[in-house]
Amino acid sequence: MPTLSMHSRADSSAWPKFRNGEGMLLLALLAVENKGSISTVLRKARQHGISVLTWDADAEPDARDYFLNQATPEGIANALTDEAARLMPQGGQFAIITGALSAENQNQWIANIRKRQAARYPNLSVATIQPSDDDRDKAFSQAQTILKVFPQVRLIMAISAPAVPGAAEAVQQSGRKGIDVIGLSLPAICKPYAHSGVVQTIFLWNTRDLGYLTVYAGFLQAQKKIPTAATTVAVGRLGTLQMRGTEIVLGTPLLINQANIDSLNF
Amino acid sequence: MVGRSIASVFPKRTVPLGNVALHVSNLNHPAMGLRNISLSIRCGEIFGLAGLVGSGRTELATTLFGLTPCSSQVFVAGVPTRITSPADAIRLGLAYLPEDRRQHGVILDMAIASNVSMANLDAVSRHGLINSRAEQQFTASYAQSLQVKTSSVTALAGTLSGGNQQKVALARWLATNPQRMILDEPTQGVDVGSKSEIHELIVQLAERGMAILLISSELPEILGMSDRIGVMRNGRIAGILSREQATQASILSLALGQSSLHEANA
Amino acid sequence: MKRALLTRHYELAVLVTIAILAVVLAFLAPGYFSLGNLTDLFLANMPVMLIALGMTLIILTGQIDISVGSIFAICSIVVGILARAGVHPLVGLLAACAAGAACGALNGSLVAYLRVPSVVVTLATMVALRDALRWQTQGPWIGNLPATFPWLGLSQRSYTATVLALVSTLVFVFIAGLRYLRIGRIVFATGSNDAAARIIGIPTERVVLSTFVITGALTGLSATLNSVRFNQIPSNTGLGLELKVIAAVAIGGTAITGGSGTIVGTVLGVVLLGSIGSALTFLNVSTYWEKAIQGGIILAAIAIRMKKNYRERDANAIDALPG
Repeated sequence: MPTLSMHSRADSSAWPKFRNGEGMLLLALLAVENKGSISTVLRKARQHGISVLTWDADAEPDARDYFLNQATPEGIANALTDEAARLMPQGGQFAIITGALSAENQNQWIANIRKRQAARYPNLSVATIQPSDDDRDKAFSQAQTILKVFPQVRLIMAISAPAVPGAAEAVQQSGRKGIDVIGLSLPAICKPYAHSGVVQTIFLWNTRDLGYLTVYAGFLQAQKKIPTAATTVAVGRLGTLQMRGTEIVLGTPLLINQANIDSLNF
Repeated sequence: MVGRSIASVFPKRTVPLGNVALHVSNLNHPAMGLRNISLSIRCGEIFGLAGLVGSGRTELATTLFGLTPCSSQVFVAGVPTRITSPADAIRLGLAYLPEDRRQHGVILDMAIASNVSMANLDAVSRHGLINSRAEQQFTASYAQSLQVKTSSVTALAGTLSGGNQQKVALARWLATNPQRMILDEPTQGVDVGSKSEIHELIVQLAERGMAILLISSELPEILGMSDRIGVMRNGRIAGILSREQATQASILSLALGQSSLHEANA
Repeated sequence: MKRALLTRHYELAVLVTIAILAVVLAFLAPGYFSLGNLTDLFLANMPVMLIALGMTLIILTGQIDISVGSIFAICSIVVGILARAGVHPLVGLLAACAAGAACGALNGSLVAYLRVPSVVVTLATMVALRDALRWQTQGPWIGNLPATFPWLGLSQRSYTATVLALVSTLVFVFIAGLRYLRIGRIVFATGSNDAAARIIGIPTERVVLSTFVITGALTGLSATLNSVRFNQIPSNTGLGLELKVIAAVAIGGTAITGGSGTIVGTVLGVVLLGSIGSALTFLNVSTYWEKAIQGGIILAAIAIRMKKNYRERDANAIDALPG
């Protein structure tokens, strides 16, 4: 039975020595922060015959067997943009609060948001993009400033988890009606704002499903059951998932709103 | 030059000696290399401490002053006590003007007035708050009597010449009304004019009944200023010479270990 | 005399920079000065301001504390846990200050008595304290807080007025205390010349310990005052806070090596650094410039400060020659 080992930070110094003895060792990595350094270690692991999977954020492609992507950047961006358009049928300006201006994944989402908006919703425009450094308090402060400097903004799209409640609190404290907040966040921290109607929708990937996928894919990979040029893979209760090269995509982002937010426990 | 009396160059005047102000008997401080130190100083007496560099003079000074406390007792005005910190020493009426005045004496970034009042802030405070005007007047009177050359007592101490900084340090100690002073190389690196002023000050202090331990490497100075001279060698007192017995030759021979003359004038 | 003027000039330089920014804003974006915006900015920067008061003392004694962000997190969580257990936030405030002071005491003792360099100690506690929270922060943010929690149970207006009064009072106390209280002199002496201070009888270890404890308590205070503005306490709160605080103190003219600096300078530093971000948004300057501008100001401040240090050192060297 292959063993699964999970580490939450790319801390190559904490890695145990790889043993390639009686059983195969499988590694699954979450939230790769320092792509370069961890990839070197992972490559070595693969040389020893250890299967390597990454999920949430990727290492360098040749350093791992498969990347389990919770959603594609286009998928996330489209979901957000479409929702913004739905909430602003008459068009108008919206603001984006991001995590860090240098975050690669967030910048990818922003690029795709702009693309989607340009292609489908010419009556929408981005008023401004402000960073929040993944800090609730800073997102709060930025949202307060946005509401004052861009009074015409009808919607704030916060694409960093702590930023959604931060922006929502700012909208709520401003007392202004008719301003919506959407974004990517955890249901647990957005509940009060969803109930008060400030936060209309948040998106996330189903973390439970992602975990399931990781274990299942790890199982398949350890048993070498994933053919090399596969375009789809059957993953238990998740059904058939698409593959892009060596990426296994979980699917479209999960839409969370007032209706289902209470039933989600993360 | 060796052997000729040069005592007439120094402003030394005969002062009636009072009770023993400070004495130690068989003081041992192994960590500082001090062994079997016995000496006593009377009120109004200037006790010179000679010896080669490394013979333990400064170590004795810091030990007496509580900077490098030892377990041996010190007799202050005949009362046995243990001095475990500079605060203790100051409370017992001791003062210590250290050797490296730039490192240990005056605080260059602070005003002259602040320096002078530093060891006795009570004298210039009212209800716990420092009264700047009182402080300036307090300092001005010392500056005048010690002839510190400065345009204003609010100038930073770092703007003074070396000799004047030394006088500020002296003033700071005088402000605590000590009865026993340890002066470690007080005129080292000081210009000739200030040197003689400081010598005059030291004699005046003795005339006022102060017991003074004068550490100096300048033989003329120590010969000219002292009532008695203790010579240290290797952490011990090699000998104590009276003013009449002391010559450069006799001091040197004790310091270098060429004589085993022990004349304790306790 | 010449030196005293230069010091005053330094804070004037910061004041002038703030004034220039204010003038530009007055012309191009007068909305910046609305009462609402100024209040919001004040509350947003309140933690940095309070902690910077204590940090000034620490840096004046020649030390540094890079763990205040983690202490902030611990105190916020203490407040949250107590509030959820039904404790009134004012009691929680005292508990937070105590927790902060305890963390400060840990830092201070290691620095003062074991003589471990403060950057090493506080680096270790920064990591250790934040990691110590994992048993709590593994989970979500602390929510479900009682109705007495927001705004300390006051109305938002009363809370804002109270905090304004409190911060102003503390700033005033620190300014006056540093100048007119014995402790002020002792702090300067310890930082400027530790050996001399000890010879004068100053208990330098206790002084250093106190600066860390005071800063810890201020951190606890600001953590509480900040937490009650929201209805949840994030698990990653306070990340990066120490950098903002230290930058403000450095810009305010306090020498990183210790021995000189003013509270007024620190206050100006907090104001300048805290207003740049939103000023850029009001002036429609791309946000990409914010970090660059902040970095530039910090570099300029330190460069001016170092130039002053070299000039002083040369002047001292010349003056100290026999003559």
